[in-house]
Amino acid sequence: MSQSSPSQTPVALGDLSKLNIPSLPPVTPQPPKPHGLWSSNPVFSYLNDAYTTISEHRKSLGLVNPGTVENLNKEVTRDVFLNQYFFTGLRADLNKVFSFAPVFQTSHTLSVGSQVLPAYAFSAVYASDDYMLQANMDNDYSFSGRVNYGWDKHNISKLTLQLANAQPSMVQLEQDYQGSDFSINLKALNPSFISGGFTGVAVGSLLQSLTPAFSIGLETMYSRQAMVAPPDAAVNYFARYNAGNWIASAQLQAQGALVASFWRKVTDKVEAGIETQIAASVKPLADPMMSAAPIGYESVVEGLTTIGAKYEYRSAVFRGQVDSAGKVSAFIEKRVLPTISLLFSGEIDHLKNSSRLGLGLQVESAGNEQVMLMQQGLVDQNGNPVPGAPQL
Amino acid sequence: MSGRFQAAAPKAPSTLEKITKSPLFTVGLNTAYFVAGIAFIQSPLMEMLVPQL
Amino acid sequence: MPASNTSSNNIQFTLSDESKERIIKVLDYSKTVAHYGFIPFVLYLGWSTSPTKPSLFGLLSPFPTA
Repeated sequence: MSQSSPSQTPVALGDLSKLNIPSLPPVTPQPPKPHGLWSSNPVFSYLNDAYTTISEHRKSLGLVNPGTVENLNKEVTRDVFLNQYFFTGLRADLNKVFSFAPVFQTSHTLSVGSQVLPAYAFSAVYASDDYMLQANMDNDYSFSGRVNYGWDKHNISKLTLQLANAQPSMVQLEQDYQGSDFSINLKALNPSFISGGFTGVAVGSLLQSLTPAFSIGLETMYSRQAMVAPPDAAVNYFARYNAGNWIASAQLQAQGALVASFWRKVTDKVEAGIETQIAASVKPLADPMMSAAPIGYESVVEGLTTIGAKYEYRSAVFRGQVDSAGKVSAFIEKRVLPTISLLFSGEIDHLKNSSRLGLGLQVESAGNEQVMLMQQGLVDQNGNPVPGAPQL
Repeated sequence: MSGRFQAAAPKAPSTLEKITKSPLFTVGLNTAYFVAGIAFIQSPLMEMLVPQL
Repeated sequence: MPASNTSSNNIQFTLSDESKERIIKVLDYSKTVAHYGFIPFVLYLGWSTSPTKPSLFGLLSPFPTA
């Protein structure tokens, strides 16, 4: 019975440091701080200590990077909802992969019967570890290009260009900084100093984690289209709660709109999401007798709620959604061969009694033999045969 | 003041129209949709919609 | 104070019409270069780093070349 109770962790006798012996306060003196203006000066040493305390406290909170303001409700609007996948008419995407590391692929897109998609577009993508270059041109010679460069894992600079004949061009410079518990994004759209001052749009946003799950943020925007025109400024506020298998977010926009969204990962193959937008706007009030100039303005509150789900099957992805304006839409992507997928998108507007339909074909082809074998699942990235695959 | 337009004047909106046209109704309706949607997504009903493959 | 303000503004922003025109011309030129030169640049970058240097026809045709 000299042994201590088994619940206590047994300690090797030699390991004295781990024994719980009441000891004197640490007698070793604090290491002398290097002498320099930044540390010996009482004011700075106080500030440095304060900074160290704060950063240690921040670390102790276990905060993680909250993501960016741009991706605030990405899980709902981009993963679950089909808005960005929806198309009408017929389309064919012919992608051709030349290499995977670095990624290099070209793509030809043909489309018929769509108001949005051009009849033909060619695009090329090159992406290595630091760089991402993307170029796209359609049959009207409208060009869009994008260059991303990652300086390190925290800093990314982005350049976006859109040039079209007989249309104003667009340049956007962007800098992303992702800290340990916050994200900053700075954007400038068509910045120019030629006319004697800043013209263009400048946007700065910050998203900060307050607890491991909860983060808040704000975005300020300053825009000035011309030196003669008065500048415009706006502030938007954001909040996001990420509880792992569900995420709730809210944003309040300066124009008077409130967007709330909720997302849940039901299983690892099924996700569901809902988004509500409530916007207050001022609309001109037209006179029904003489429909010329507006006779006044009335404030209108408009609301739209959309609920949707995404199902991932082994060789297909299904997205479906219903909104409060009576619109039901679905998008199906079905892989019929390892390199060929079929796309279907459909929408019925029950209030307007209209519908839209889209059918697509996606073909992945290869620029060389190795990529072709990889696409057919016969060899892996390093050119080794995949176990279980038919012999070459 | 001119009597000519009196015939064209719209009739007074009914009580139901008044309620459904009010901004507060839109806000309340969409808030209700949102809450109901979350309740649905979080409820076991959503899990029953998962296909058993 | 106002005088110094305006002078600093002068240094920073006010450009002569001539240099303004020159800047606009240079911007226009670089726009044209980006418009028609960026895709060839991306293609060249991809071509030069891909293990099997594909032919120009292979780069531009949508059909598999293997």
